[in-house]
Amino acid sequence: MTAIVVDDGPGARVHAFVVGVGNYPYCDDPPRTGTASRILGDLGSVTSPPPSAAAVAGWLAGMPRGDGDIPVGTVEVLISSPTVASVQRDDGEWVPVSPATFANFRDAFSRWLDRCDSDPGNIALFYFCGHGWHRDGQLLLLEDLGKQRRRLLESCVELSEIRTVMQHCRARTQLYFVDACRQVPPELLDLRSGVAPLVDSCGPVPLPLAPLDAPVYFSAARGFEAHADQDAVTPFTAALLRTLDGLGANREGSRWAVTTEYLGPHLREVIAWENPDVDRNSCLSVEGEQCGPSLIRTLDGPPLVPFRLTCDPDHALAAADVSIHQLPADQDPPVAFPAGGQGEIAAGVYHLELAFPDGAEFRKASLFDEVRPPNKAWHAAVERA
Amino acid sequence: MTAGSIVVSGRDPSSARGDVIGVFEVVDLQLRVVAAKPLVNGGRTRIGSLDAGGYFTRATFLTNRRLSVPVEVPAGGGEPVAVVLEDSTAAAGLGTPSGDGWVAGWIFDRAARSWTPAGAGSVRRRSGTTIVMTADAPSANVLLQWAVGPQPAMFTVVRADAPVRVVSDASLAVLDLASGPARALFTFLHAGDLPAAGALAMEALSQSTGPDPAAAVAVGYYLLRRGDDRLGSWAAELTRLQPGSFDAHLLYGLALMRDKTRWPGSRGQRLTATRLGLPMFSHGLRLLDDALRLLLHGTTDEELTAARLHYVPYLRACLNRPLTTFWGGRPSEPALMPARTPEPVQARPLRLEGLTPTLPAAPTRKSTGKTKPLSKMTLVPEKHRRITFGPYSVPLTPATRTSATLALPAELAEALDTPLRGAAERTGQELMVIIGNVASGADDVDIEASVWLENAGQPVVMERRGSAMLAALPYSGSVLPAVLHLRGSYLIRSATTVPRPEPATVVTASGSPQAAALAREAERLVEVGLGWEDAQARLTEIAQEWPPAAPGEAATDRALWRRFVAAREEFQRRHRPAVVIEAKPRTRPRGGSSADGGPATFATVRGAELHLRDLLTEVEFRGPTWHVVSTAASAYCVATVVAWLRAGHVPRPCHLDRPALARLEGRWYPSHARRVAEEVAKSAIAYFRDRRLAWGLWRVEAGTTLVTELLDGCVLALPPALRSAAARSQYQPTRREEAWPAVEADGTDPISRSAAVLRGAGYTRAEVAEVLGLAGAAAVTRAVARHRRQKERSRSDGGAADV
Repeated sequence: MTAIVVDDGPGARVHAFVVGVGNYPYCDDPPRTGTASRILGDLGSVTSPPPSAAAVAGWLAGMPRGDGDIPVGTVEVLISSPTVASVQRDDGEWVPVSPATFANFRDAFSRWLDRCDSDPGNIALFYFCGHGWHRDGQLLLLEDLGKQRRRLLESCVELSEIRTVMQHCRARTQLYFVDACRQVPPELLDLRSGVAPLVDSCGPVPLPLAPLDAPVYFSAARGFEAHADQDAVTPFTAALLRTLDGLGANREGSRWAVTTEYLGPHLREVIAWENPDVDRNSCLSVEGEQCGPSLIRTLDGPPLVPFRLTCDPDHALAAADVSIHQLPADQDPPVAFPAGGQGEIAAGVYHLELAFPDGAEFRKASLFDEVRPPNKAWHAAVERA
Repeated sequence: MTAGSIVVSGRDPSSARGDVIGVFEVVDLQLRVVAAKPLVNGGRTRIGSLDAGGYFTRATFLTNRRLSVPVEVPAGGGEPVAVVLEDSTAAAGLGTPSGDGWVAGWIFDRAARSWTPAGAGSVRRRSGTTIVMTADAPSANVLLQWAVGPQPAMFTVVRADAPVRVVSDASLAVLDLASGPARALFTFLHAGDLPAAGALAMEALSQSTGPDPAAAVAVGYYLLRRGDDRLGSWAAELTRLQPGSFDAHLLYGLALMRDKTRWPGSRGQRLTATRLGLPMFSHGLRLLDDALRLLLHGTTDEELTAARLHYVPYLRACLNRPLTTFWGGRPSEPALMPARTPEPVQARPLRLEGLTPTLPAAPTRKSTGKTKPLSKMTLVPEKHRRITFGPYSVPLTPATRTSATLALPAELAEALDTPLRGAAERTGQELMVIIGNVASGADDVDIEASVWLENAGQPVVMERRGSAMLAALPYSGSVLPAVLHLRGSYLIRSATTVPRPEPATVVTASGSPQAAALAREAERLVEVGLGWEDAQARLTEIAQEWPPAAPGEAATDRALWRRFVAAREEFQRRHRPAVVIEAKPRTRPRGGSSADGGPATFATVRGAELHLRDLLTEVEFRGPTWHVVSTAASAYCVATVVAWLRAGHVPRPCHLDRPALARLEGRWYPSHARRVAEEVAKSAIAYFRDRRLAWGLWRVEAGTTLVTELLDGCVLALPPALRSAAARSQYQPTRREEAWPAVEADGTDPISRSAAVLRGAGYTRAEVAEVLGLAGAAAVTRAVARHRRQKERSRSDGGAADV
């Protein structure tokens, strides 16, 4: 059992359930024949889910909160890795976490459900990183997948079941992030075993349904695989954390806030910005219902937005002396422009000027533009002198 | 300070003028969004009431590209500032397969709950880059299957009559809606970009004319996704306007799940949706599955379970596209992977060049000599090869508590060329399943089949007895199951050696292949139950496309032309109207009696109605004028519908399902009839105002009368009102009154009965003639006399009392 308690005071809280599965011992040693051999043989232990889940849990444990934001209450963590994984709390202490076996998952889910159910203002956050299949719903594969070789699906969790059970939960804001593949192995359709239930039947879902803001963010579209780098946080998770950190923010009145409304489109932009080769249509899929927008967090000030400046012709940038001023002009001193033409800058309105030495090949050029999350790409067409 | 304005234009060289190519926001220097609107290619959208100062116009294109342009609104107003937002990255036709292929239409047979081939003429080229499929039920979703060049066959669910076009990215070419707002909305919703989708949906909701039908569905999905309170009324209206739409019923079912009072109806709406095929928006499959899982949680509802199992294969196979799209050769077998499949019987040749489709008339299949009817050419098996079928999920329609009929797949009956009949009977601990007519006698059909129930043991092999097959399934349930499964194989021994009798005027393909194909197509247009207008249009096209006779082929060409003419005459004979409606009712405004009581400036009925329409438009369908008109119209509708109920007959095309029909033909108390009629009238008047007048669809110039408009509204509103009446199972009168007898006991024909009832209600003969579609006042007189004679005969035979 690993529950990091951040703030157990009364009132609404963010309760998170973070699962990362990198260790699949029964897939590393699959049976030699049969359906299980074909299905498990395509899988194996992976290195990116443990650091990804640890990053999410660490970010949640130390998530900066603005005035009026709902504080983080607890973070339930399960991580499977070849060695015992640990998560760093906000106070710097490292906490060892339990492996993501089905039994541990079931217990942790019940605890998370109870906590989320304690207040209708709670925000339930679920994050999973590991192998996945998409049969008629998303299957989340846990560490002991393949332990029962004649009942393979018993060690899987069906996301639909989590979402259905959570319909009974009082928390009306529920966020689901699934960083897993969504392909359909043909042999999977031949399996007759079903997933084991997470909870006893809690009866039919009462109608009418209450409004629920419960978007589901998948790291891949149906039928596609998720991307991962060895021993590193996955691109989806890295982008997710940056989006939650501020790149998902939008100007809401006088403040900058991360809400469920802009989370999806901004997350896609952040993934594409940081992974230019990715297919934008399949790198993210947003499902579920959104009766929001629900506030996730507010920022103290304008978020830092990554930007990139390119010139036409290309080599003009190297010759240019770039200065950048935030408007109104008397607000701040000029911002130091980074070498290489890319960096981060606070959201706002800017005047950007490209000056060239006397007798240079190009004429002076300027841009007047807004900088808003999730990113800014400037392109300056420079005229020859 | 005088407010300024900005005029924003969109530009995308790869899109047609008028297409929605994205959305744009206007943000101020504090980066607050001031306005959000659709971005139209070549369009001009004005954003007014802006204070002087700096702004940014930021576009989000459908191609995912974003663009921001600064703009300065000068002090003192003046001319609006023009901004052009151009998507220069859009590339047309990237990766589009070119070459020859085919396209085929499929329509959903609600009775058999399976997809059946649509007539070849139902798929047509509409304009330069779009094609359209028509169906008898215009609001229904249909399947378009197509393959071109190297790309294997894929299915796309579209709305009948909605133009579609080929779009492509680097990986795949797919069909997408040509409707700009609908396409853009579905694209943004599919991508999860709710702010962009919101700008489009809000624009559609704010327009007085309302969105086009496909866009209306897309707006419904947006409202659902946002949990918007307006979803309930929007979806209810959708089901009324698009009664054959899967998406409309799905949306309404999902809306009802959140409705505090009407939530018990959500299950029925969802089941209604599942009887209408597939959703147009791919997320509809996921939403349906989520909802069914939710309802099944903690319960054992066999009907919902069966419905869910039916959709799971589509859910697995659905591609990552806004419209429901999947690979496959047969609609009932969605495939996970692309594979080459034979073209179906109803396929039309398709040629794709860039993004421009053409539908040439010449057949792509090579003729092997004498032509045969197409239906036999592709459905008969090759010689001595056993053809497998199923597994099919066969719905059971209960006839009694212990027996039910089986809705066997139409494609199986078609393949066996025999009218299959199926039944199931619960006896003790067994369910006896019988399939009859497995052989029609002409062919030697060797058929093997197995049936089984969901989660109830192994398949049971059916035993052949003569032309029937029997099986006894172990079954201990107290009620009949909702569905059973069937699969097997068959072999038709004589079919390949003894083809169907061929037409007397068979010609060789060597004569004039194109003319032969056109003649065959004309004959098939007569055979298949295609919509009259489409078939008529296609026959006209065929006559225009007829090729000149080749040298030495004049005799053959004449024979082919005679075949075509014969087919056209047969078609016209079948579709010739039985009566000519020429009566003009006196209830319409006449000179000197306009709605506002003003002086008459018109002399004809059409002139009066034109004046009335203009008047109503001028007052925006409200105020005293509208009140006068709507009160009169409501009284007319109530009287008419009461007459229909009393007669037990609706003298216009009206889609009445079994509960509604049973209620219509049942016993009516006057107070209940009036209550239903008032409900219908209310809906009909609202329909007339909101969907006809407001949208400018009342076309007096085209001869559409006020009476026709009102009766159309009543016909649309009657089925749900009857179903509601049936659900209110207590038929006790609210006061002491005599019930009209049920119409089954009457014994008179419905037209005559309706004529008598309407005359009795005070309608003039001309009015009765228009309502009933009779050929004039004299015909009404004859109908009333006929009714009287029938009643007398009925009395003398000991029949029921008078109506």
